Amino acid sequence: MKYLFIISFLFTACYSITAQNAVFKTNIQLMELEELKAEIFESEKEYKIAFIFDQFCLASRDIFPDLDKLYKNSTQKNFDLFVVTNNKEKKQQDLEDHLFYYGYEEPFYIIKDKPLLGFFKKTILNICDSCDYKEMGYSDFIVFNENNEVLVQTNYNQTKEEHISILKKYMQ
Amino acid sequence: MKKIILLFYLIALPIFAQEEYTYNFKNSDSLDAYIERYELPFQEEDIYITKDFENSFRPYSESKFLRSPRIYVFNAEGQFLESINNITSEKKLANFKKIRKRPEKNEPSLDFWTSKIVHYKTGNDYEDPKNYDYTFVVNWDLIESEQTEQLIEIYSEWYNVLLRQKAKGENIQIILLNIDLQERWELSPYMRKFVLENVNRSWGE
Repeated sequence: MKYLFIISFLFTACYSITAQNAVFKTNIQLMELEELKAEIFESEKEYKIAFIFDQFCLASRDIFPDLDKLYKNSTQKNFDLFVVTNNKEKKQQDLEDHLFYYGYEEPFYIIKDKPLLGFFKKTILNICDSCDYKEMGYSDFIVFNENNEVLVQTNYNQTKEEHISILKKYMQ
Repeated sequence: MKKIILLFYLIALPIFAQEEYTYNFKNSDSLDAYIERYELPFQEEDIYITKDFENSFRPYSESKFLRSPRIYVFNAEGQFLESINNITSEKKLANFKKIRKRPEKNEPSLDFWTSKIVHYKTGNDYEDPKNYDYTFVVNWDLIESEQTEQLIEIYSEWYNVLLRQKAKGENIQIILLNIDLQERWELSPYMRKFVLENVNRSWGE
């Protein structure tokens, strides 16, 4: 019994040291819009969430810590999250720094063929042709089911609390 | 002379206006309680306080090195590079290439400051023979105010990102310097009263 306790203690101590020293890695992928659409639609998860993000937008910065908690605390992992950023390819390092600073591990996507104008219209219509892109802003998101049907499309009239409460439902 | 010291001290203290807050002396228990209450991710071995009032706290208070929340960055030679606040922290702490390279002129070295601090629990002098590429002195205090939640977020973000940098392999040292008034100074009852009266009168104004 004494040895069992010692082994268990050592295991816990080693695990805690490993966890503390774990090297943090960001997850940024560069892809074209079509590739992103394929990535979302080919996911076999129950829910697919496409979240529109801007590193310098206050609404995005405000909601993301809560989203991050939901992401890190999810136990069932019944969803895939796609954080679509409007960063240019050459600004990848800025995004990298932002994610490193806050410890965000979520998958972020930079669009290679990001249009000079009309990022919202082109990006949103590409992944959801039935969505009203004019109603959406940074920190809005679309939830698809496993058949790629739209379950929810948020809009900029909704509050942060409303967004979080919707995310809670799907990020289990 | 003491009044002059206190004047410097009052000027140097952080300005997060709150009328209700009453200053008092702190000890390792009050620091631990604050850390536990607000779930600060601080590791015990990184926490330091000023050694005494006259020879340690006074030089700090007469300098620009007693502001909070603030980080003071020193290079491998112990030269002061720059201070980081919550506006510049994201850029500089996530990417050390963005930290100023040229030391500031006429500023005391890291050794000068670290000779004035002790570990908050053991009271042992700061001693670290290892050479680091950067040393980050993170100033913090136990002020309770409307801004406490915001301050806790800042302290946590700063410490966590520096721990991530360490885990990534950056050769850095982190000193969490608590800048509160300390029981450990063992001031006479007269001096304690004098210090508190002056500090708290100033904050009420």
